[in-house]
Amino acid sequence: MPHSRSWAALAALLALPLAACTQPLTRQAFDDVASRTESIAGARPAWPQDAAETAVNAEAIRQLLAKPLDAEAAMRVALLNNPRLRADFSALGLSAADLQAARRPPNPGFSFARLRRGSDIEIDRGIGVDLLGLLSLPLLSDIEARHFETAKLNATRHALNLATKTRTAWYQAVAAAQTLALHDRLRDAASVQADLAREMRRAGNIPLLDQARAQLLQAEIALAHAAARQQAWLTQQRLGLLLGLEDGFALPDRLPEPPEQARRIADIEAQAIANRLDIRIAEAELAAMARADGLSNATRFVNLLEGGLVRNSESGRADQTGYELRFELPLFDFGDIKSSRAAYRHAQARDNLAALAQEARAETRAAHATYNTAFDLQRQRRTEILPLHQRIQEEMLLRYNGMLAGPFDLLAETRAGLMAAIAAIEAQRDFWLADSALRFVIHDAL
Amino acid sequence: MLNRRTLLSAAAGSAAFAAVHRSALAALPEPAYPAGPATAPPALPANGRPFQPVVTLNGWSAPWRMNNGWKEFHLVAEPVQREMAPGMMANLWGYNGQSPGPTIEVVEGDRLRIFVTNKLPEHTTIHWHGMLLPNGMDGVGGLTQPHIPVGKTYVYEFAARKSGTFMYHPHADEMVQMAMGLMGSFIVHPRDPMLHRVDRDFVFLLNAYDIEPGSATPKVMTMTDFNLWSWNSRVFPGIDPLAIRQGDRVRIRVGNLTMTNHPIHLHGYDFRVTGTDGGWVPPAAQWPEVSADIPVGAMRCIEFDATEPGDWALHCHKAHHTMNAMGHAVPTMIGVDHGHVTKRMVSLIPDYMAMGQNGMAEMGDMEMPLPENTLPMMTGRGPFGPLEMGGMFTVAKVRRNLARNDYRDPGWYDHPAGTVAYEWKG
Repeated sequence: MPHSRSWAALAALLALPLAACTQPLTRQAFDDVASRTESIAGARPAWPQDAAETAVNAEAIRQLLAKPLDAEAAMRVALLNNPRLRADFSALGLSAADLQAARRPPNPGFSFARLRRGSDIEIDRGIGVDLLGLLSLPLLSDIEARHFETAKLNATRHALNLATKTRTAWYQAVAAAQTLALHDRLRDAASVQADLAREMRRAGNIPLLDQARAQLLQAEIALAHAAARQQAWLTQQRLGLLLGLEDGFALPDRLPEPPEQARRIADIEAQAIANRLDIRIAEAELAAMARADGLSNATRFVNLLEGGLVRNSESGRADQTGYELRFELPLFDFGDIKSSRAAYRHAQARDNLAALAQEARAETRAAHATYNTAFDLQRQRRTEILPLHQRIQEEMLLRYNGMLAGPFDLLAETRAGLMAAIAAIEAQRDFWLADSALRFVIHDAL
Repeated sequence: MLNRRTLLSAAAGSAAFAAVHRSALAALPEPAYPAGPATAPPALPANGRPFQPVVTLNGWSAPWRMNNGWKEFHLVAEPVQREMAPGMMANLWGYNGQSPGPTIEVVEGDRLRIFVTNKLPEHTTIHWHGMLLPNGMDGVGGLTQPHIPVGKTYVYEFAARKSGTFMYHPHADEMVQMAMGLMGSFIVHPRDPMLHRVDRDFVFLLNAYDIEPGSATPKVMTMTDFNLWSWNSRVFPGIDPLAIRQGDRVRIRVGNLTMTNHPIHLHGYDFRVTGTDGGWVPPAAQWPEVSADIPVGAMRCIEFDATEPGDWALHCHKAHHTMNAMGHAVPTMIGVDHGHVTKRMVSLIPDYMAMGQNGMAEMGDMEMPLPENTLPMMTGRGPFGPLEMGGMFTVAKVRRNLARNDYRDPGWYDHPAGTVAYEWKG
């Protein structure tokens, strides 16, 4: 069967590029994503593919969890352990597959017909190739390559986004726990006051009115305490979700001290324009749209061009061989719709990029201003307001010593001091949140 | 310590007090200034008519100069710093460096020329309380004279028509200026030094301040709720004791420039009220007392023979007037069992200490850190323990072996055996 051999040779020829597999490409892409994430966030995400890698990853997580998690460690755990991030990485694999597919020529079509007319049997065999697909192969694979790059950028965005969310959740959780500890003291102060009032009432020294006021205070502070406890629980849960853990992680009992000086960042808007991933993606999109626009112009009148080898066998007769070409006549759809759609998409991508750049600058400016204000506020609370409360409490104690003030006056100042300490922690937390936002905003939309 | 003998032999005050030279005041008598808040011993007059001088409690008497038969004094009204007791300074207004100002001592019939220089930040006048004088010398700003503007010196000229016990104080922005401590005693001695003669003649003014603990300047808008009740702007333990020789005839002259009356009570004696700022009480009209109530804006002289030796308390009988500043809104803790609360309180306020559970006597014996420039509510130690006093309290110390002109504190009384209350042991 000489023909059979020639068919087999053709098939082998066509199958040659198919040997390439998507897995190394995906791995390579993930490594790019991981390196990029590490260079920005300072930690590398993991995407274990087999039992050995999973074990190594689990050990790394276990070591991080061995002591109370600081914000960095929490971020590392999240990048190693968050299942949603792994799901996002899988999209990378899908995109790699698309790229692989686009790099390959279109599959040839094979047709086979067996027709009987009386005793005549006619067998038509044909093999056809989408010639246009073949011709546009470089263009399409280029587009898919760009899509793949976008997928990598998107994967990086997901990793960075997770890192930042985890930092944010860490500050929220630690601040809430710290606040709860102060609410414990507030509750103690109110309960001491209520107990003292009860004793004073028992001794006949104060009227029911005063005792009721002390009780009311205690009840109201208990409500505030319950809210603080709920907040501490909730923020812990949110952090756990990002870490991919139900529990089994410990946090330090206080927020880190803010720096003595606010960070000075030069040309922050220029940095954002140069670095931001959303802008990179929009740029890639614009480039892709520009190519697509060009492609649709090139293939405007030939929508589908097929060429094929044909071999017809009829019983009792020599086989007919030859080839055929088919193409559409652009009578009704002469490609103008496709072409104008591509042009609009191109324009849309261009304007989108311009808008994004403007938004990025505004967002960065706002993040910087918010950071500076948050720095000043926390410093004011820490270096001015808290020491003043301390001073007032000391003075009140001196007055108490001299019988110039009573125990309730002391407790009132203690409560005021605790409220100020809570406000100071909230200011400290807001500073760190602004700090996180400022780090992130240079790399992506908030 | 000043040398008493030097003082006594000196011409009235000229060596004892630092003179302040002011070229602008060249034609005026140089204003004299006291050496400190201690009681200046009495100085016999170096010129003019003779008299038996008074002892101004924690104060002094103004020197004068004779000028063509006129006795000339110079009072300078100005902001001063007054130590109300060791450990507490007050920003007051006074005369010649002190509040109250120097006691003016003159003799019945003297012609007086008193220069008053205003170094206050606002105008002032001086009203010569109780003095019989021409209307235009009465010192009521706006009514009998123009106010003395800032920086100006005015002259008052009048004769001391009758002997007795008087005061001087502003009659311009009067409430504020008296709340700031502007006042002084004014004694007119009898022309005959032997008339109404006593051996020891003490004088002081009652005044009251509202000085927030931790501050130094009186709150001038306070009407009644004062926290420092003072004699000559001193409070216990800053008030000197009255040193008295046993057997001396003693007079104590008290004037009241506070907003309330003060029953001044002397232990160990009954006394006679012998004079008011209206004049001497005829012997037949003198009445016996152990507490002389001094009305607002009035003066009383009480006299007694110091026959009984001992440490006799002398104080206002309004108990809260023998306290220093305290919190009037502090709740009573007597009978409140707060042992179990205390531990929790200490965990919130480490230096907290439960107080007042059994009364407040513990305050008199405790030395706890207080706000700056603040005296303990009750303080002082006697030979038998804490005195638990403040404000308008001092001791008349009657001693057998005291020199005639010795006004130094003779220390605590040495009780003869068997004359002190003792514990019953069955």
